[in-house]
Amino acid sequence: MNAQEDICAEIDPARVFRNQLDLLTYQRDCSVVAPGAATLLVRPTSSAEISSVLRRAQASGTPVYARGAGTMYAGGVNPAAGGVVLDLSAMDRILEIDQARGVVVVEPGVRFGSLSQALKPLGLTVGIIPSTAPTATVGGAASAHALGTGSARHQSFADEVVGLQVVLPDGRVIETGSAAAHGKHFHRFGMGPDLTGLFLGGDGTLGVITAIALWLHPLPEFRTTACYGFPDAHKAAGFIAALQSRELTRNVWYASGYEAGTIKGRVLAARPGYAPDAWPGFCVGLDFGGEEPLVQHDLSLIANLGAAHGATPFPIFDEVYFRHLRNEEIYWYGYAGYFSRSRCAILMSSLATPDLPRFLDSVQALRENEPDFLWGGAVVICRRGLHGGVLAFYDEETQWPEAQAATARAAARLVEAGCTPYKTGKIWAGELQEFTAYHQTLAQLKHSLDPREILSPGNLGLSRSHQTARPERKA
Amino acid sequence: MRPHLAALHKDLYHCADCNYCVDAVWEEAGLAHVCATVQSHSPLVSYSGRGYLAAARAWHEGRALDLPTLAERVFTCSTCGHCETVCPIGLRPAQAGLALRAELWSEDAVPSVTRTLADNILREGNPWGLPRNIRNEWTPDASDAPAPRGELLYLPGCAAAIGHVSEARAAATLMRTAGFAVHALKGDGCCGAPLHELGRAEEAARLIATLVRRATGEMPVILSGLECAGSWARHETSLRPVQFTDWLLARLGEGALRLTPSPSVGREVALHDSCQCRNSPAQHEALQALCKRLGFTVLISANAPRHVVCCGAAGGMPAIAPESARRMAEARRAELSQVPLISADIRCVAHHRQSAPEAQVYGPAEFILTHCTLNP
Repeated sequence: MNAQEDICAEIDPARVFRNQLDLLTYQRDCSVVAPGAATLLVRPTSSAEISSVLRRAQASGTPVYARGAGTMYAGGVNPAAGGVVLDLSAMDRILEIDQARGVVVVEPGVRFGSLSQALKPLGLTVGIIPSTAPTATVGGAASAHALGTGSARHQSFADEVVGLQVVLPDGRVIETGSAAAHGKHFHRFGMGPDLTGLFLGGDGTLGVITAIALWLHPLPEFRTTACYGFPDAHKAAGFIAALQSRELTRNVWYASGYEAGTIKGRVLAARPGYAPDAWPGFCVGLDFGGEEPLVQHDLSLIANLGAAHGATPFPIFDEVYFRHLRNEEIYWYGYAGYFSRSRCAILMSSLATPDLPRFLDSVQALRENEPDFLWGGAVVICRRGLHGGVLAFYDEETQWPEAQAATARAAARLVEAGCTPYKTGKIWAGELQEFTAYHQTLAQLKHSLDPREILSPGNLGLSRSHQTARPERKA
Repeated sequence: MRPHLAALHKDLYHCADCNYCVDAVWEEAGLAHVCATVQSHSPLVSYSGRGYLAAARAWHEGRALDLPTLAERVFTCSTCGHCETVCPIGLRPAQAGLALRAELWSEDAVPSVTRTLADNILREGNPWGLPRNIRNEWTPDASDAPAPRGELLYLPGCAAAIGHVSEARAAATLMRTAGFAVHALKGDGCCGAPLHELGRAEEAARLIATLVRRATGEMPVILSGLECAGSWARHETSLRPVQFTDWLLARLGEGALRLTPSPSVGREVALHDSCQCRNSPAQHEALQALCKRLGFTVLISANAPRHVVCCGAAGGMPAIAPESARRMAEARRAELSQVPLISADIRCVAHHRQSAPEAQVYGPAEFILTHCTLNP
């Protein structure tokens, strides 16, 4: 029996695939990152099956990449070292909705769309719902640090996780948080260091997440949106910082900021003749949700706060664009760049709110220095700090390697501007290695849990040599 | 150079692998499932729109593919086009599937059952390979009944004329009751719709051209098949056929027919929208209006007509993957209510009735004859 046959010895043969055509669709995710080429695809239905695969893969040193829907844009699921892809989409059961504990427990293949559908009749929702909700899986969001609706209120997806079930690289199955002691998820912290956090955003490098417990929240009964225009990003950053320090995002589910080019582009596309006295230099959109009197109260406070920072209401941006983000009527796929180029490389970072102008300067510098690509930038406003997305539109047929190199240069530029990697996968691998003390510790942890480094080699800069080939940065 | 794939160049390089065409759940948009093949045949992405785009791009770029496997994947698609409806950036994965089918024909690499289907259509003018003259069995013996309101040329299509002949017979009865003489086209053949779905677009175009030429005359043309309407729409002609449902609505409006629900039947009916209705929502509206006019309460699925999931009737599925096609039909009936179903797409009706003879699924004319009283 060869290694690959041995790996799937305990799996129903009907859920094991070797055909080149089937594997073709598991080579990559939505990112610019180069595809990989696995030789075996397994669709497990339980943690026991995953445990069996990992134990056997460990014995032969075969790489294993876990995958949800593959909607992330950091290349984390791309099987760079070949081997086995574990497609977790068949593990799609909602295991428990416990309103008394305020927790929902799901398998990793549950789509956010299905979860929302199940929770809605109960008047409930989860804290963070990514913009790819109809297809994205909860396991993918946990592994790759999702953000989206809820970030303004709750920060990141990881903050909303109560506990996990994880299959370790040697096949052992562990529960984290309170479930480690009593089998029930109701508290994340307290039992020593936070083991849950070890696997969140780990891009499958330290274990395969097989169950996720999330906090439940009341489904907002009232929703409304508002947009404010600012003369420049400095004023906007001041406003956002004040908003965050006064905790006025408590009833805001989604908030984002847009630079001047985006504002003009969106408005003029919808209203070609629109000619205001002056265009804002930056726009902030806020999507409120909660009890109506509380939302109205906060709206009034926020309007005053905005005025104090030079903001004026900018309803046209709300009408033509921002309010349509609710229920995801517009996707990031809908960026105009897609229609002039073929694909979009997205680099997601975190930044402190006062660094917003520096972030935007970096995007502008990319436009000036990398004219072969169309560059865009936008920020998602969190409970604290910002997520900054840099988008590079490119033609995949003719510019793919160049776009990878340009993205690597953009990553370096963002770090110089004070940003830190978010949604790391492989796209930030090179930069992560630059944070030496952090990365060495990460590598030691990896080595202790996964000595043969079978899990997702290449992610987080953790390859078999602890060095990941990074794209050539030279322009 | 693979011309059919090259024609889809933009689609091949714009796919962002977002997975909407594989499966997606989005309650607010009425989206519960996307690809019927993924739902009822295999969960593998290679059977979905994204799989077709990936395979098409790989083949276009010169990669050697396992053609028998590709053919199995690509011909297990009902060509319903839902993947195109949900694509956030308007790509055409179903067209990629058709292009792959066309390329597989040029490589002589299609499954034998597919070849038989195409041969049947080309030889006998129907997908089942039944003798050509069976197509006009819906026509009763020549009647001397007066036709004060004129003459009609009725082209029921393969599904109503052969697959579910009671629909064509019922339609003819209603047309005659309304005072029209109903004529069949002698030696009437297929309009090419099923051949088009199999990836033989050029031959399909020849079939519809022939049919249009032969049907052109003094008489209005009435169609029952929605897929036939698609064929007519692809062909440039000044002849504008009328769908039976539209024709019937107009006659009811004129008072040429008076119909009332039979006292013994229930007054609720559920619409079974088809993939064709997604592409031409007017038929969804027309059938709804017809049922309401007849006095029935119409139940409509939350995802209709934009996000209906295929019942497995199209694309050759009932012949190519009969068990999966049956499961698709079953899944569709399970989504809908327990009252009788009515569909403007006779191919769906035929498929449901063939895969589950007890199923209460009707075409418009058959529904009227079984549920209404005719008052000429």
